[in-house]
Amino acid sequence: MSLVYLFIAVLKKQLRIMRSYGFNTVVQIFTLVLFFAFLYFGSRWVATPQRLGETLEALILGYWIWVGLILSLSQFTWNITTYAQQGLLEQLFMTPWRLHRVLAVEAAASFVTDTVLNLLMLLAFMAISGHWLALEPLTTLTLYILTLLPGFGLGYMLAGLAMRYKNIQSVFTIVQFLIVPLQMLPVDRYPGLNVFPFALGVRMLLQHAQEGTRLWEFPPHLWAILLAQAVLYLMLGLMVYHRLETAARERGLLGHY
Amino acid sequence: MTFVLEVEGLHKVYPGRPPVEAVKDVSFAVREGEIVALLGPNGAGKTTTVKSILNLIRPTAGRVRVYGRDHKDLPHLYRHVAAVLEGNRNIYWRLTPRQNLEIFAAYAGVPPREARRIIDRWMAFFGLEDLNREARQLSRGQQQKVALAAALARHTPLLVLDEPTLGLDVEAKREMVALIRQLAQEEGKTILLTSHQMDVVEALAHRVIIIQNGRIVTQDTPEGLRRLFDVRGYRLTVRLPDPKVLDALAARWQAKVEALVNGTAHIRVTLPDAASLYRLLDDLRDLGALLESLEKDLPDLEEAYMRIIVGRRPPATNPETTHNGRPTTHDRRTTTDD
Repeated sequence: MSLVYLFIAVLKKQLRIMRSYGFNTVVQIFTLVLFFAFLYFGSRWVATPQRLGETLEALILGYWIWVGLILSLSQFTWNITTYAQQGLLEQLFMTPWRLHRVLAVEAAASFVTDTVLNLLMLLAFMAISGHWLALEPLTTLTLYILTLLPGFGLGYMLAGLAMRYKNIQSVFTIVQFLIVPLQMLPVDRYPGLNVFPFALGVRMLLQHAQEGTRLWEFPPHLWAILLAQAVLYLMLGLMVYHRLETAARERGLLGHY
Repeated sequence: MTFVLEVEGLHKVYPGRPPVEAVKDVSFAVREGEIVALLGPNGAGKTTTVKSILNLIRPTAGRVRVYGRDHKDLPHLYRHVAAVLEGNRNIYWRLTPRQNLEIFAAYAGVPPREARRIIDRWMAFFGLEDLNREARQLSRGQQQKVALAAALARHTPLLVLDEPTLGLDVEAKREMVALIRQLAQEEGKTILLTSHQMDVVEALAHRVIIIQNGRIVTQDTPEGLRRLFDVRGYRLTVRLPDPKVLDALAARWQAKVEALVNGTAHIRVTLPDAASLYRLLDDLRDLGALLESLEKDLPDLEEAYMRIIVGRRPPATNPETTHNGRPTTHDRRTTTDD
């Protein structure tokens, strides 16, 4: 039995749960789209049409990536806290796969469903703004995935914190808003800032939208940096997660909330 | 017979100020096919013991072997042990029973084709086939059955059940006890369970381990534990010609009066040997008391437990109707004297 079967089973489970929470899912999407509409019409009110035109791609893509990250991160923390509340965390721990792998599979399955929803939302953003971006699917999805991967590392850290300290809603809120400045770091002027995640991916995505740069037309070192960011933050996240998981088991907190 | 679970010198200290010593030098072993119960009051260390065995809590010291291998080998451990833990409803509330069993089998790495067969079997065993509703819409008893079936879908030979009948009404509890017994007898499962419910332990366990303050106080079969206190005690119901007779019985036989209703007394006596019983009966006749019933005062598991844990008997109840709140099940000889 491979992890593929586990992935399929988890994906089925998540779709069933999503269907059960159908109303919540619709409200969540509606809120995110509505928030974008406020952002868009608000910025149209304060900026001249010419200036807005220059930043519209950034607004759409930046918001799109932000929503993707929030969905992934919230999935990690939501999973851990609800599993702990329902006594499921211990059940998930008791698998031959080890909990961090099960969480990775859960995150991957959520990523699939969230990406579908997020793509629909991207269409909604473009429809609201009346600005249709010329996005090529392969380049867009590759950049989207690589930009979001360091977020999985952050997700592991948050999962570990939730396991050890339980109520981490305030930390999650801070992280949520920290992502915005991280996405806007001027990495083209200060390449050293590439130690932080997200900004480079958003830049490349923007370049693709504005200049039509394709996957293979980006310089290889940019791909290398994107990959290095993903590996670095995933490893960091796993390291922190393992420490916090051990601390939680030391204190017998795995089944508590 | 092989041991499927061996626990040696298990010790757990929870860090903190001050540190809490929850389990102290606990050692025991479980044989294949056995039902072993950890019995103890709340906070005795039962749950910490089972969670340490399951590696959900990191033990401070000690060794645990499951099917011959250290429990730190997690893939091996979780291929051999499944558990239903405190709360007993560790299932997905938004999934149906079958969907729950499917995902739990997947978590355990059971191959899809085998999983289908196993799931069908346990759905039928627990009578869950027709429950096509989300688990949150089921009764507590049904949810507990789903949790147990989900643990069994993991297809492991050893089951750990933490308070499996907690919160169930009388009927659901009886059904759950019957199902657990069936699991051991017919399905060959080895079961380690914790409970503070004496009747559950008495009905299920082949062996009882009594834990108090994190230590094993004693371990034996339920019968062995009862025999520990099998003194020559008797319960008598006698019709008295005069209440003063009781004073004479108290003085001569250290008889303890449990109840005196309309001239009929329920008394308990402890005798040094069997021959003394005949002398007591002669004495009663001489005092003009009419013996209505006589039964051997064999303690039940609850009484044995109370004597071990707190060194006293549980409060006595009227022997005519119930013994410790339920019909007496122990050896009872009732005679009427003329």
